[in-house]
Amino acid sequence: MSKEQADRKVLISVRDAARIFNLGEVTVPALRNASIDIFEGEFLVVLGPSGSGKSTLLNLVGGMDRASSGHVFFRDEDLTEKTDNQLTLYRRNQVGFVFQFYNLVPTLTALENIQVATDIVPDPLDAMECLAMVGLEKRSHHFPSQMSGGEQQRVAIARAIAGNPALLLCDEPTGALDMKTGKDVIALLLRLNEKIGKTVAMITHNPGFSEIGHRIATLKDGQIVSIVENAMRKSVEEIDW
Amino acid sequence: MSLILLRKILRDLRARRASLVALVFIMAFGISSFICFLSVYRDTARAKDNYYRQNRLATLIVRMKRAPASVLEEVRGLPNVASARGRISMAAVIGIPRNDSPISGMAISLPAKHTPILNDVVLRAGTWFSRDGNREILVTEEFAKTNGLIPGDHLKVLLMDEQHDFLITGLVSAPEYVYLVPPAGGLAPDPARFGAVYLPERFLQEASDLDGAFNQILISVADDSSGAIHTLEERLKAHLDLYGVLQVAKMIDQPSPQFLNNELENVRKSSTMTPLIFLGAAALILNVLVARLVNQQRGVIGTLKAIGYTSRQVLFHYVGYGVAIGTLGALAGVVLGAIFHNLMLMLYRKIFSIPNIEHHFYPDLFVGAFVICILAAVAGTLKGVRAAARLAPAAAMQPPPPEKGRRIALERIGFIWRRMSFRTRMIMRDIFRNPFRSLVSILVATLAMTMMEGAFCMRDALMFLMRFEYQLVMHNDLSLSLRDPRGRHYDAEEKNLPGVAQTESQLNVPCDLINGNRTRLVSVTGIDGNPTLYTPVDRQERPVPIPASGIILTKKLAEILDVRTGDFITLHPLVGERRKTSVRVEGTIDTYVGLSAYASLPYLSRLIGEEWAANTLLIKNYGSGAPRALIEEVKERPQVTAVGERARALAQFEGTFGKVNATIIGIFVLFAGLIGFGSVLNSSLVSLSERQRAVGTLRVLGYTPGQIAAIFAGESAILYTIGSLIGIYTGTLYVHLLVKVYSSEIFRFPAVIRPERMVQSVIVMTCSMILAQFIVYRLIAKMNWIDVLKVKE
Repeated sequence: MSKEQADRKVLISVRDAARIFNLGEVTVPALRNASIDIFEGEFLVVLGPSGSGKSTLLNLVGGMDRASSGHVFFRDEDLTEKTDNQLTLYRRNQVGFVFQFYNLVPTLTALENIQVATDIVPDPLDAMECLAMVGLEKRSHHFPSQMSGGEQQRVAIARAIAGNPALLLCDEPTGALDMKTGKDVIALLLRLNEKIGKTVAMITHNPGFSEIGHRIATLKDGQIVSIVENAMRKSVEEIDW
Repeated sequence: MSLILLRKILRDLRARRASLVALVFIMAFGISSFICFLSVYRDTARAKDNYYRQNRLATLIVRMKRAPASVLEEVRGLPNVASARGRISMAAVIGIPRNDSPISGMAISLPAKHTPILNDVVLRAGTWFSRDGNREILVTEEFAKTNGLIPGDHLKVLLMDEQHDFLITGLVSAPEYVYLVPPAGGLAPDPARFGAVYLPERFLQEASDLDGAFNQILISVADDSSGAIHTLEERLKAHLDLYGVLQVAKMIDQPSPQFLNNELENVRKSSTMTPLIFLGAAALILNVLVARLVNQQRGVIGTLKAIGYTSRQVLFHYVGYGVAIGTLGALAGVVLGAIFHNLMLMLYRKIFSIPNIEHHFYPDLFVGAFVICILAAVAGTLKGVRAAARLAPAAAMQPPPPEKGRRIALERIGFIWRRMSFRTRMIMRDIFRNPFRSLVSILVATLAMTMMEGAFCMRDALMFLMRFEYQLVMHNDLSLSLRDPRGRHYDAEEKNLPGVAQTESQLNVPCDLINGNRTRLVSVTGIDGNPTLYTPVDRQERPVPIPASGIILTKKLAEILDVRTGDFITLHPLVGERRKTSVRVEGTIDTYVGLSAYASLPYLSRLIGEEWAANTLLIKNYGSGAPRALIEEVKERPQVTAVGERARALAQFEGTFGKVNATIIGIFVLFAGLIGFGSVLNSSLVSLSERQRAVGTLRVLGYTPGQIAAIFAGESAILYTIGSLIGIYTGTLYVHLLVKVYSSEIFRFPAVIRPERMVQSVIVMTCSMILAQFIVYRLIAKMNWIDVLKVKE
């Protein structure tokens, strides 16, 4: 471990985590022996083909699911020991999620979709300011069906940051978008990482995107096969789609 | 709940308004019947109680042959007597200029000067008697109105043997006559043919040979507990026996108050039964709707949980749908209830002569309506809500597991399955793979069918009862009630009247029937020989032979007295020699109206100390109806106290109850149809939303909207046929239940179940299903199936 690495503060620490699904008579190990740290302020890219366990890892980190064995720490708290309600509070206060298919509530406007999140957080950001941060202040009263995919994903990002979380977890945020809008969304995430120091962990199966992260973790068949420092970070404009 | 999520609920509901409208109506009808029936019950009961109290309706009434005025003081001295009033009440025949019809009346005495008295009257128009008041009369308002009489008009009244001419000074209403039913065969009020008239006490005493005496004592009590009243009744019977006590009875057991109470009791019963059925159906339908909603919103639920909503918050959010739907249902129900309440009160004001039946709003009922409706709706969300709360956030983010593709049970029966077309197989799979939804469809169809059958059959029961009484038992055109029993010669005389084809005599004797400590006052009817004009029949419509000795009781009366065929009971006639005799119960018959007893006329005559006596004459004319000349003739006869016309009584019954009944039943059938419609529409829409891609695919393959709609219609048709078949059976059970619930001493409804009613119910159900399927067809025709196929599930 380099000195630089040792100086960094660990936000999330995954230790020997496994997640096994029982599907009737067969058990499917979705994740095995996973150990990884996520540092405060970094942009981590999680790379791997479909079914490699990326989303499972992200779900454990985000408190959406519980490890079958091993531990997941958020700062000093062991998430695997938390009750359902404590996990809910953890998600509410510490994590912002961005999903591949945006997951906006279709019957709420852009602004209301953000307010759904700010309503339950003790010290949220202003919903309208969040919308302005993603450049959609003029579309606050539009419903998801009236917006493009890129716009919807930007609303989803605004919703994710509105609770002022410590960690932003993005599961294939560009998976449903074309190249240009995809790049816009990545640029927005990078900006949030650089300008306001949000820790971002982003899943992708597109190796081209890996070059924008500080570090790249690669999964294969439910195991973390490598974690590498990315010395040659590329800008959004430089990446291949 | 946050305002944002409330908005989500309202928008989600708006998007499902097609399913919701019918559902909300079903709830609204249930709630409206709750509000309407209970409000009417309270309004009427309150008006009745006020009316009775303000006019001092007595607790007890004693009917006697004749008691000197001095007895009153003795009665007032008895324990528990608060006050007592003597009066004269006697049958009278009233003649109105320009009206040929026989009018029966009750002439009742009032003090010459209006002072507060027991069983007081309310002066509604005109004035009280003048100072000398000899030829003056007060007339009941309903009677006057119906016959076009106003103060200042003249009226002829036949009292005892003498015809008198009176000047009407005022119109009154009387709490003891809120329901004016004519004697001699009437069941429905007929103010054109029966009225109470009031005369100054002094005058009536002279006219009825009761100088310085009374034939009724009204009593109010200090302690109205039933034990104390019973003790007083016994004491009065013993004390007044000397004066020929005919009856000591509670005022509320007299025909008019009894009928009113019976009606109010039925209204109260309806206020729980109807909402129960409708809200139950709504809750079932809602379960399907909300379960589907939750299934459609898996992603939303996952997102809400992912961003930090607790399971409990999510649960409350989906319960919120129930609360919102319940609120809508209650709102609509309260409005509809207010309308029904108003309409029903209008009807009651017509049937019952109670002044000031005021319309009140009852906030507690409104609150109750909201609570009940919301609870029912919330119960309707439980299935879906539990699923939503249980859904783990990570799982919810995944698309739902693919529909179970396994074979359904039917597929194992190869020779049936192979013979089914592809479309039939689709229908079968959808039915069997959604067992809960299919079961709800069947259940709701069963419920709608049950209710419709119940509504139809209650109408048939009423019509049957009417036909039974007026066509199977009675065959006479006229019945004349005579003041005193007469010998055989009277019958012969009447045969010579104009237009008379046949006459028959009857003897009606008020008797106490006693078995141990059970006593009942009934009118025992003595029937002569082999009657043809009045033939008691059993429920199989076979004439019941009247034994030469002994007595036949209606089943209900036998139940009340706790006696069986072969038992002996004590019969105490209240007229004639008034000798107590032990008589054998020779049989029981099942009848539908009132409590009656039959004996042979000679036997009954002997029981009252006569050789042969009759006090009712039944007349059959040539042709139909009663000819004018005959009516003119009998009206003038002093011995006649009341004239009954069978055709008139039947028409009056039909007019009063038949129409009301038809309206209420029409509403019930309409709403039963609505339940069916709502359920079909809802389950088809849910099914359609689940199978949009399948519909799109079939459209690509070249299916017409009609062909696709037929698949949905086929599913509904199968489920509804099963539900309706079960409903025919449960409907029969329901009819038996209704008959039990609504039967009383006055009416016992028969369980009449006619096959054509089932056919009619099936037709209504089919129509409502076709209507719902038409909407589904339109949606399929309008569906943008190309887009549906593009969108990710």
